[in-house]
Amino acid sequence: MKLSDTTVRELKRHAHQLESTSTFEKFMVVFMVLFVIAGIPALYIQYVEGHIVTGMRDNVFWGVYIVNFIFYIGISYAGALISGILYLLQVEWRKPIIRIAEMITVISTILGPIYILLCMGRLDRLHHLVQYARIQSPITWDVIAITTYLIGSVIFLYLATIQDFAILRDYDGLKVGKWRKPIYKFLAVSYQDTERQRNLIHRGITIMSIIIIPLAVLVHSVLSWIFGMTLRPGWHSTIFAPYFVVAAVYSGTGVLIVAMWVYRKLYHLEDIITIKHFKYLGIILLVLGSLYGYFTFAEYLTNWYGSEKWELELIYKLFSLDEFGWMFIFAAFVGVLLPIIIIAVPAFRTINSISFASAIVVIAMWVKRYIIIIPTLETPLLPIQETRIEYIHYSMTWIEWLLTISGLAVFCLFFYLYSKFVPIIPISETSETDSKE
Amino acid sequence: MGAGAISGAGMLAACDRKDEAGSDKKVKVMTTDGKLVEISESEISEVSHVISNEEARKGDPNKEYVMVIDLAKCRNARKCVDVCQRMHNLPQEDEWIKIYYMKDSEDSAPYWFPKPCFHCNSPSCVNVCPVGATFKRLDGLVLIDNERCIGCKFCMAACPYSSRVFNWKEEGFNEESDGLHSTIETSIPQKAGTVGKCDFCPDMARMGKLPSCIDACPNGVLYYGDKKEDLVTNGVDTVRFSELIYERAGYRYMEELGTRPSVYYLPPVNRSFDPEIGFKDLPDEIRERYDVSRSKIKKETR
Amino acid sequence: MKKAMKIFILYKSGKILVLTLILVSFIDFEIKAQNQGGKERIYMKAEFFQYEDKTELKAVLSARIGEKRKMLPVEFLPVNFYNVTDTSEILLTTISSDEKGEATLLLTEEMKLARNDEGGYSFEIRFDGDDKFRKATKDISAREVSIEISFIEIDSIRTIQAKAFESGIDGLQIPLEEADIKFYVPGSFSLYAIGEASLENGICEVNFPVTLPGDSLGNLTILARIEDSDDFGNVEARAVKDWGLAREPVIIESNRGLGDTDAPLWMVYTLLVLLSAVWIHYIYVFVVIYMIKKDAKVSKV
Repeated sequence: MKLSDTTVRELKRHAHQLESTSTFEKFMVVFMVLFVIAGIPALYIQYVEGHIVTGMRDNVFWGVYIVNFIFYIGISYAGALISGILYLLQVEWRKPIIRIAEMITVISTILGPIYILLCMGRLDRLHHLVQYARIQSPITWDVIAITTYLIGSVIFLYLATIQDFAILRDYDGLKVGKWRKPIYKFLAVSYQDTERQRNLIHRGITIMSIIIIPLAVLVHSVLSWIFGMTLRPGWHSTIFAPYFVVAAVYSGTGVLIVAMWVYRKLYHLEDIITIKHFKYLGIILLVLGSLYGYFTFAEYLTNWYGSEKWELELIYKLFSLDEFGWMFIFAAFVGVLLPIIIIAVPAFRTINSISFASAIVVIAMWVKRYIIIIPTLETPLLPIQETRIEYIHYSMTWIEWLLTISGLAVFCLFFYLYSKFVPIIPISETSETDSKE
Repeated sequence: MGAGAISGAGMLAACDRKDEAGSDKKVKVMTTDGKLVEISESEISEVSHVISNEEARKGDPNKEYVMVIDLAKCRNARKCVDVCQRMHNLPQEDEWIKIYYMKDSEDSAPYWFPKPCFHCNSPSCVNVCPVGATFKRLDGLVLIDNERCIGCKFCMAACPYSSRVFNWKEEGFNEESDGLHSTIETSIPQKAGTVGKCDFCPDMARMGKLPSCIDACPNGVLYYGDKKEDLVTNGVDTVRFSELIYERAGYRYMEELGTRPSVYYLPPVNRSFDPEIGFKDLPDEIRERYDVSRSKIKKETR
Repeated sequence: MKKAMKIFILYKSGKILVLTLILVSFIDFEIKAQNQGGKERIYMKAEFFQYEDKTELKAVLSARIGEKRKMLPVEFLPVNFYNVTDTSEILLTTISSDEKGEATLLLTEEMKLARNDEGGYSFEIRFDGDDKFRKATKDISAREVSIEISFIEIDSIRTIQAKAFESGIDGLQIPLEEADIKFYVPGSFSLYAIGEASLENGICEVNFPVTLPGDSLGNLTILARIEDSDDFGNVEARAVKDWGLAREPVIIESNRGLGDTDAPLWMVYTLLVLLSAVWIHYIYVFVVIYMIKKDAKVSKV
C-alpha cells in the first residue's frame, strides 16, 4: 500500500526504536537478562527438592506465588478496560497509549498463570485439569476464563496492530534486519488499506472491545471466587467479586501510567504522550482509588462491627503493628490516600508526580494481595498449636524472592523486546490524527 | 503347610489356571521377584484382593461409617497419633489425627480434642477439587486419589477444620510398603506434591478390622462403627450409636458450618481427672505446641 | 528350762535360715540362667471352641522378646496335640504356630477321640522346646456341649430362647445346668451384647432386640455363647430372625451435585451459554481477518 508522508514522518519520530538501540537500552537489557537468568537455579532447586524450599507449609499453603498470580491478572485490566472502554467511547487521546495497555494485558495474562504452575505440587499432571475437569470447581472456571481471556486479548492486540504491520511491511526505508520483513508480511494478512478492509478491522476491534469488557469482569470475579467460596474469615465475603474487579482496574491503570512514563522517557515520546494523558488517566486513577477505598472501608467496617470470633481475630492481626499492621496501613491507607491527594490537588498534577503516585498504587496493590491471602491462612478456624515457626508464620524464602523478582524482569524484558519489534505508538492511528490536523 | 501363601500383587497378575477342579493341578505363577514357578493349586491362597480404582471410588452403599469421640475420657495419651503415623509411614511432621487443647470460652474448662478428618457429608473439599482427586464414597468416606491429585491445595483452603496436610518434600516417602499395594484405600505410599489426610482406614474395614487409632487408644476415647447398623465400638465396649448420642448429648463440631461431619463428640462431662495430666511425660517439642493456647487461656482467665 | 528353749528357737530359726538361703540361691540361679543367654520361657494358652459346624482346639504361644521384654506372639514353633486318657496318650498332629502365635487343630469325627472319665475329652498341648525357647505344656479338657436357639413370641413380646445340651457317652442329650449364656448380635467390627441369662433346666431367655436395625427385611443374626467355661471351653451357636428393624433401601436421588463427578445441569448450561457467547465472537473475528486477507486478493485481481 502507499504510504503517505505523514505516516513516514510518524514512523521516524515515534517508531525509531525499531531501528536503533541506545547504549542505555543495552545496559538495561543486560540488567534484566541477568535477573531472568538468576531465576533459573531457583526453579531448578524447587523442582528437585520440592516445595519444601518455599515458605509454604500446611497452614499457609498458598504464598507469594499466588499473590503474584493475582497481582498480574489484576494488572491485566489495563488493556481490557482502559483500551476497550476508551475505544468504544471514541476518545481521541486514547490513541498513543492503547498498544501499551494491550501489551500489559497480554504479558501479564501469560506471566500470571506461570506463577500458578510454580505453586502446583504435581506439574506432570497438568493435563488432568482438562482430562478430569470438574466444572463445579472455581479452579476450572479460572482455567477456562483465563484461557479465553488470553486468547481474546491476543486477538484484540493483533487486530489493532494489523495496520502497523502493513506499514512496516511496505516501508522500504526501514533499517531493520531482513528477517523481519517476511514476519511483518505474514502478520499483515495482505492488508492493503482498502475501504472494505478498514471497515472490517473497525468491525473486528469494536466487537472485541465489546466482548472483552464483560469477559474481563468475569475473569476477575472467578478469580475472587477461588477465595470467596471457602469458609474462611476474610475470604467468605459476598463483595469479593466486585472488590477484586475494582482493585484490578485500579492496579491496571497504575501500571499503565508507569509504563507510559517509562516509554516516554526511554524513546523520547514526550510530544505524543503528553501531560494530558497523565491527567486524564490520573483522574481515572483517582475515581478508581476512591471506589477501591470505599470497598475496603465497607468490608472492614462490617467485619469489625459484627462480633464474629474469626473475623475479629483476623482484624486484630491486620491492625496490630507487630503483625500485618504496617502492610495494611500501606495498602489500605497510603495506597489510596496518597494518589488521591496528588491527583486531586491541581497544583500537584505533574507528569512525574502522577507517575510516582501510580508506582505507589502498583506496590500498594501487590501488598494488598498479600494482605488478602496470608493473614487469613494464618488464622484458621482451629487454633494452630505448633512449635515450628514456619508453620505458624509465613515468610518468603530466597527462592520465592528470586522468582518474584525474576518474574518482574521477565515482564519488563518481554515488554521491551515487543516494543523493539512493533511500534509502541500505533503509527496508523496517530498518523490519521496527524493528517487530520 | 510351611510353604504357606505367596504374597504380593504381582502374583495374581500372571496366573495360568488350567483346571479349577482337582486340588493337585499344577499352576504357573510369577513371583514378585520375577521368577516363574509351578506349584500345586491347593497351595495358592489370596492374601489380599487388589482393589481397582473404580471399586475404591464407589465404596459399599450398605454402610455408613461414623466415629464418636468421647471427650470425657481423652487424656492426650497420643497413642492414636503414633499408630496412625506408623501405619501410614508418615513423616514426623505430618499428623493425620491431631490432638488440640481446647477451651471454648473464658470460664469453661479446657479439654483435649482429638480431630481426625470428619468425612463430612457436604464436604467442601470435594466440591472444590478441579480434577476429582478427592471424592465422597457411598459408605461415607472421603478419600484422596494421589495418582490424580495435581497439588493445587484448593481442598486445603476449603476444609474449615485444617484436616489436610501436604507432602512438601520430594523424597522421604517409603515406596515399598511391606508388600501392600498402593491403592486409594491404603493411602500408602504418600506421594510428593499431593495432599494427604485421615482416611478412616478402609483397607482395615475390608478385613473386618477397626481403624488402628480405635484399638490403640488406651482410654477408649474413640468409637467407630456403621451408622446403618446403629453400632459403634471402641475395641472394648460395643454400644448402640443412637443410644450413645442420646444419653451423652453427642454433637458435631461447628455444626453451623453445614458440612455435616461424620464424627460426633461427647461433651467432657464428669471427668475423673484433671486435663493437666495430658501434659505429663510429654516430650518438650510437643508440650511447647500448646504454650500459646495455654498462655492465651491464662490471659483470659485473669 | 530357758536354756532348752533358747536352743530350740536357735535350731528352728537356723533351719529356716538355711532353707531360705537355699531357696534364694535357686531363684538367683534361675534369674542368672535367664539373663545369661538361657532359654526363654514360653507362655502357652489353650482354648477349646465348639461351634455348630466344627470344634477346634487352639494354642496361643507367646514369650517376652527383645530388649523391652515385650510379650509377643511366637511364630513357627511346632506344637504337638495329644489326646490323653488315664491310660493312653495319642499324638494327633503337629501344627506350626502362625504369625499370631496361634496353632489351631480342627477336631473331626475321623480322629476317633478317646473320652476321659467324665465323658468329655482331655488334651495335652506340648511344645518340646528348641535352642531358643524352653519347653511348655498345657492340659485342657472339655465336655461336648451344643446350644440350640429358638425364637418365641408371646403376647407380642419377642424373645430368644437358648437350650443347651451335653452329649453324653451314650449319645444322650442332657440339659445343662449352671452355665451362663451370653447373647450377641455381630456388627461389622465387633459383637453387640444384647443380654445374658443363666440356664435353668437347660433353658434361658432374653428379649429380642426389636429396635436394632437389620437388613432390608429386618434380619438379624443372633449369637448365643458360653464363654471361657472351665468345663466346656467356648461354645457358640447362631441363628437368623427377621424381627429386627427393617432398613430402608438406599436411594441415590441424583448423581449431579456440587460434590459429584458430574455437575448440576444448570451449571453445565450456564457455562455453555457463557462460553458460546464469547467464542462465537472470536470465531466471527477470525472470519473478519480471513476476509481481510481475501479482500486483498480480490482487489488485486
